[in-house]
Amino acid sequence: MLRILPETNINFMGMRKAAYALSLVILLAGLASLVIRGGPRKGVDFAGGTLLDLHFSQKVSAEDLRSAAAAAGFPDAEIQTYEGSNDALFRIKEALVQKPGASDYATTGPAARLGQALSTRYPGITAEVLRQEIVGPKVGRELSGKAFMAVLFSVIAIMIYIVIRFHRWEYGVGAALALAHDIFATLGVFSILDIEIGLTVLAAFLTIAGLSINDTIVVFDRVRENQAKYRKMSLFDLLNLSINQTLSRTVLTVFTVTATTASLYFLGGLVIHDFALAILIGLAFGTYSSIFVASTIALDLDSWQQKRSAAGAARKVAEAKTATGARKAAKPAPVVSAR
Amino acid sequence: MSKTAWRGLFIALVTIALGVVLTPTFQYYSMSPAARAAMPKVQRDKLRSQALNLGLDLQGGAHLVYEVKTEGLPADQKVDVVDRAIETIRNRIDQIGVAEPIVQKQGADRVLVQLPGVLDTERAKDIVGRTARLEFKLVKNDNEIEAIALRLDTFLAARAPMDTSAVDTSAASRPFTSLIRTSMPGALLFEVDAIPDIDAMLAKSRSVIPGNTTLAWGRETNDMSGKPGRFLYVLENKVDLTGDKLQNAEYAVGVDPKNPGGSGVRLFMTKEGGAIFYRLTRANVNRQLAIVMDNSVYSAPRINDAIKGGEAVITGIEDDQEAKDLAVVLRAGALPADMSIVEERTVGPTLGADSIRRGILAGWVGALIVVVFMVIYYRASGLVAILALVLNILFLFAAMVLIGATLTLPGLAGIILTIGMAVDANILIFERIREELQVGKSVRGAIDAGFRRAFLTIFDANATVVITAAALLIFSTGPVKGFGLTLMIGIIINLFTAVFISRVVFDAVTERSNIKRLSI
Repeated sequence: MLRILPETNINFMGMRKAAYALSLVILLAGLASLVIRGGPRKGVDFAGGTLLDLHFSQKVSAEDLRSAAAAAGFPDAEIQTYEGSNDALFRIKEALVQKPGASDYATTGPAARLGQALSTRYPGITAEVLRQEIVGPKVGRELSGKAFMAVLFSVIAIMIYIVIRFHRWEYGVGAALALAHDIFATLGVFSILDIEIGLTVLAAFLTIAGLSINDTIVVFDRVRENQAKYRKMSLFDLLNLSINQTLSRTVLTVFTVTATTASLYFLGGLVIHDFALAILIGLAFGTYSSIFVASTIALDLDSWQQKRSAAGAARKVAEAKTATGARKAAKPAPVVSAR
Repeated sequence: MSKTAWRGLFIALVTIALGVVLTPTFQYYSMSPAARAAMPKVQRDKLRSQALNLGLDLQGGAHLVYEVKTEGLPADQKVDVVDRAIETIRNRIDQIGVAEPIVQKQGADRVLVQLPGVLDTERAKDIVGRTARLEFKLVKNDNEIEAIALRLDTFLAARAPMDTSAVDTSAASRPFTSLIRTSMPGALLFEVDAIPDIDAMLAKSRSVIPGNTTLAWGRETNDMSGKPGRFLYVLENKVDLTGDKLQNAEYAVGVDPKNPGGSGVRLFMTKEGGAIFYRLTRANVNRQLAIVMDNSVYSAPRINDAIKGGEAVITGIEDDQEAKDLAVVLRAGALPADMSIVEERTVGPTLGADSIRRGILAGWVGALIVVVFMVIYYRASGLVAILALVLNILFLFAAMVLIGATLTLPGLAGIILTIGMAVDANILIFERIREELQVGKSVRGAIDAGFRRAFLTIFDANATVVITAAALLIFSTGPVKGFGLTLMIGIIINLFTAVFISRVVFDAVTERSNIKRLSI
């Protein structure tokens, strides 16, 4: 039998202070970038505007592209070119939609204007439209609103689902916070890398939520099962035991999803590039967060709840004792090691 | 037969059935464009309709959203103005000649237009975006029409190289009239398939068509003994009345004294229009007056008598729907809907084909890594997981064909992602079986416990993915919606393939032979 991991016995829960600190650093770094850049960098889908992906019949220098864009009436256009191809991507803030009743779009459209502007320098040049996305400001705002609703809906619906399935509000809150953590952290990384957020990246964010919650559920499910088996074990130990028991599965699944997403990232083409990148980044956060956010928060909420409960100081002391005892031992239940 | 055998049979039957569902898809997309073009149209359309739909981002095309201005209009008129816009857009798209266009109302005041495979979207937008032009033109009388048809024949026959080997020499000498299937006052009926030929002929022989004459196709397709046909109207070039002289038009019942239950359309002219209409009708009683919008003839009613007062009624319309449509067209011409594009997504065919090629490559590479990994790690059990994975993807495609879903680029990405996620269920089960074996359970016992215990986890995990996919389906549009759909279907099918089918395979192997060691 091939094993990727030896029998592990890692005290994950004991590391939670360090994990909280790490999460805080990641989130704050993302937040700082978001604040400095004035919010996430919205793509055409959400900010409105024009995206024009053109293929020219001749190689055009970046300089000429810029002057052509200015001559065509888009002095602020952001232009991106690709090594070894005659393609260029133009991002224009204005949504160059057809005016009502206009019927001369074939000669006055952005692609035609750019082609004309280049034709003096490059006689006979043609510009093929590979992709053109024009989103009016109103539609952009609507799509932003819907995107926010979609994320909110998933997080709340998943929280409700977990609470219903596990009968513990601590789990639901832990899972929801882990999701928010993953989405926000990925958003932060995208802001630091200065990558646009479009509709496909949003889809990636929601996929991240789905993948992250998968891991969390696997752990919580195991806790539920172990709880029935070892009735006296503290949640601290139960979580550690369950995470260790499911760790090989986590590693294997992360591997298979990473394999397919990475092949999408490297081979899937430009249109899907950022989507795959978001999933790769989110997958890392998601795996981390099911252990170090969802589980740890569930644990801390649980002990906070117990402290708060009316049992009084005496019980509190007893609780603390078992907790420290468990931590000192830092060893899962004997059943596992005795196998 | 044992329970496992029955289950195996069931899986085999489902697989065969879904394989049959996918056959047209394989046939259609494995054909070269040349082979596709060579196929008879009816057969091709049938195959196309049974194959998986590709989104505009994969096959190329334009996705346009028009917003119709409805501000300051009462609620009932808002609906009407959008209907008018839709009718206008439909008519124009038919003139561009796009195969399978979609024109759909979106929300209260938007119209979604999808034009698959359109190369020149700028031109398409020009045509769709133009203000509606409604004109009333007199129809030529039959003698004149006959004269023009004969003149076309002579002209075309003289210019076309004579094909002496042709059996039907009369067709060669009558290139135009031989295509006429039948005629009615003012119009000639042709097969829809012949329209491009006729258009080419007319373009060639402009010089022999009198300057005061214009030819326009009817809007409607008439059924002529099973084959679709369309009328070509021969009209006076002079525009007698334009849409702006029309104040309103409405669908009406009981306006025909000869047919009290029949439906009709009532027209209301402006003051100026009424005067023009009176002069026109008085001078042309018994002639036909064509209602032409954007060069297609919607109707050509006969003028019964001189009409005074700017109010007219069109009767003798075959059915209710036709009358309602005509009223919409007339209103569209009288009050052109003010609309503008608010969203446009165009993908050129080059990029679409490139996306498919790259997506498929990425899918194969990703799948290969997963397959190799599963076999190395889980040995024979890994093969079971791969069988489940293959069936998962196969069923996913088949389900998409069955529900008529559209595969978009994000949808393709979703399928590739599904490959990575689908094996998770098998990993959960296998890891569990390993654990059960380690605590000393028998092979059968470990399999049983492994599947039973992993099931709840898999169910819960898949359910949450379904929740996020549902969020995408509810809150997004276009290609991303396609991603939500493939993700959702894929993960639901996953429960069947990874859990049920894998289990049957395990049972089939371990039931008969008393296996002591499981290859896992």
